[in-house]
This record gives sequence, structure tokens and C-alpha cells, in this order.
Amino acid sequence: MRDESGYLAVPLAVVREIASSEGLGVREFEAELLNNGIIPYRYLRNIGTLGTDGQAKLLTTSAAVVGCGGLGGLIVELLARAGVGRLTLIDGDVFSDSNLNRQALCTEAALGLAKAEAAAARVRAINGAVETVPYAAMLTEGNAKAFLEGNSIVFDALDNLPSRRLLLKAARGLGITVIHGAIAGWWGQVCVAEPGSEILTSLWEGKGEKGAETTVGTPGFTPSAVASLQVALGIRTLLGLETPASKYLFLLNLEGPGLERLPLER
Amino acid sequence: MVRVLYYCGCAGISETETRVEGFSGTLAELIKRLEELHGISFQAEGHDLLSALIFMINGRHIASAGGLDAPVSDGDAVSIFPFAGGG
Repeated sequence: MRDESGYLAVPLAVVREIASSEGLGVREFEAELLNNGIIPYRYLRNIGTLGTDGQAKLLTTSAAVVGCGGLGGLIVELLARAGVGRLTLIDGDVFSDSNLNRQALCTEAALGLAKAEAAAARVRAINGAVETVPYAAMLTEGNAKAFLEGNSIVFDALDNLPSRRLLLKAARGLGITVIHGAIAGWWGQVCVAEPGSEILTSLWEGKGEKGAETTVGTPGFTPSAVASLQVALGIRTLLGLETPASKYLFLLNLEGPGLERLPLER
Repeated sequence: MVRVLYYCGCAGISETETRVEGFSGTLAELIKRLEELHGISFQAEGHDLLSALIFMINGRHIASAGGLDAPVSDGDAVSIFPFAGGG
């Protein structure tokens, strides 16, 4: 059936039924439909922005999210809705009371549950076509390569510098672009660190384990703004869309000025 | 003139930019000048300066330019913002 914008679109139930009868995976069949100009209804509101080619391509991409808490929980949600084909979800932590103020996956019923498993369950609930690879373990020197291999991008949604440094080193070794995000109080920062970029190493020079968040905390409204920007930049990177993002450090100040771009020297 | 750009309300400064005329010296000297101008301290209690704040000169982090001894002169833009690490 045609949607009001003129797209030929198919409901989820029909996509599932045909995929099943043809012995195809839902994701594979969705990509095939898109490649033939037919839109699974669930992606209809993406098409004007991403195009049928972009949506089909997203379904074939793989991304990792390291840290499934404040930033990561929101990132996972957006990636699943966007239809990124395969998500590796890494977090060795379990939900605790202090996560309830900001972590989208943390509910009272989820206290004590593994964050990586909760993230995978959320992805499955939103988009059954997306493959999930959860690791309920902290990233270490020993497991980083095995966990991250095969991904095009990795979202840095961690909360401490030793782990962030370890992630950056592993991603560099694998040639994976890091989409970095960090929050503290009203402030956030985002940047795209391509494998050769020195920006994050420089920013972290001489810094301790934690930043200003130890004083100003991490209220609930900041992560969603930072996570959205990370996902937008991540999707542009996955689709190979032209983006000047790697030339800037994005600084978010919700006290008033909003988003500011700091040009980086190349 | 040296332009100093403050991001994310660092050190409680309400301005977003200070223009310092006729300055030539090190970053440490510029910081001292700014502290005198604004009547504030960039150094949080119990922390050294570089652990709490990030300084960039012309979009380049000072780590590769001499740290607090990095030279700052006419035409330079110095950016200052807090180190955020939460997730």
C-alpha cells in the first residue's frame, strides 16, 4: 500500500510473514525490500532523511556501544529504532539506585540486573530484526579486541578515564572510529575520533580517573542531548555521509548557550 | 589581542569571551592575568589546574605545545572548558 507521501510501504506483520515463508531473516528481507524501493512501515519516517539506500545500508552495519548506562542506554534505544543491523553491547555493571535519575534502561524492577543484558532486551523489544551481541563484562586489555572486532564504529559511553583510554587504544588498533560522549552537570562534550585522531588523547592528557561530574553530578537531562548528537554523528559515519564533525569538538552547555563548536586544528 | 573563550561556565565566569590586549607570554601568565581581571581562581580547591580544566590554543590542545608554558601572543584564541567524564 502507498503511504500519503507516495511511498510503497509494508507493515511489520506482513514483512515477518513473507520473510518467514521465504526462509529469510527479517533484516535481510527488509534490506531487500528497501533496495527495491519498498519501505517497511517501521522505517517510513526515516526515509525522507536517510533515503531508501541509506536505510538499507544501515541494516547491514555493525556498531558497538561500550557503557550501557546514562549515555549508552539512550544510544542503544536510538540505534535499534534506526535499524542499525548488529549491536555489540558491553557493560559489566548492574543497575543501582543512583542510576534511576538518568539511565533510560534503569527501572525500579531492573535494579540489580546486568546493564548489557537489559540493553539487549530493549533492542529486541524495539526491533527484532537487529542482532544483539551483549557482553556483561567490563572492557579489558584482554577482551577488547575480541569484543570490538567487526564493528565499523564504537560509541564511547563510559564513565571513567582508564576504561575510555583502553577503548580508544583498542579501537585504534582495529581501525574503528570512536564516537565519544561525556557529561558533567549541565555540560556535555561529543567528538568523532577517527583511528588516526589525537584529539581524545590530548584532551585526557594529565587528567585523573573522573572529571567535573564528581562535583556537579550527572542529572537526567544532559545525557539525552549528548546521546542524540552521538547517534546522529555515528549514523552519518556509518552511512559515509560527508560530515565536518571530526574537525570539531562539540561542547554542550544547557545552562544557556546550548551547543557550541570548537574548531580543532588538523 | 588574545581572545579567551570560555565554554560551559568554567570557573563560574559569566562572560563567554575575554579580549586581552597587548599580551605576550605563557599560558600560565595569561591565566594569572585572567584571574586578576575576573577576581576568580581557575584552580578548584584540592585540584591542580590541569586536572580539572582543558586548555586549547587555536584548536590545539596544550599538551603538544608546552602545557602551561605554551606561548600565547597576539592573534591567538585560547579556549577553556571543564573536563567532563561522566556517562
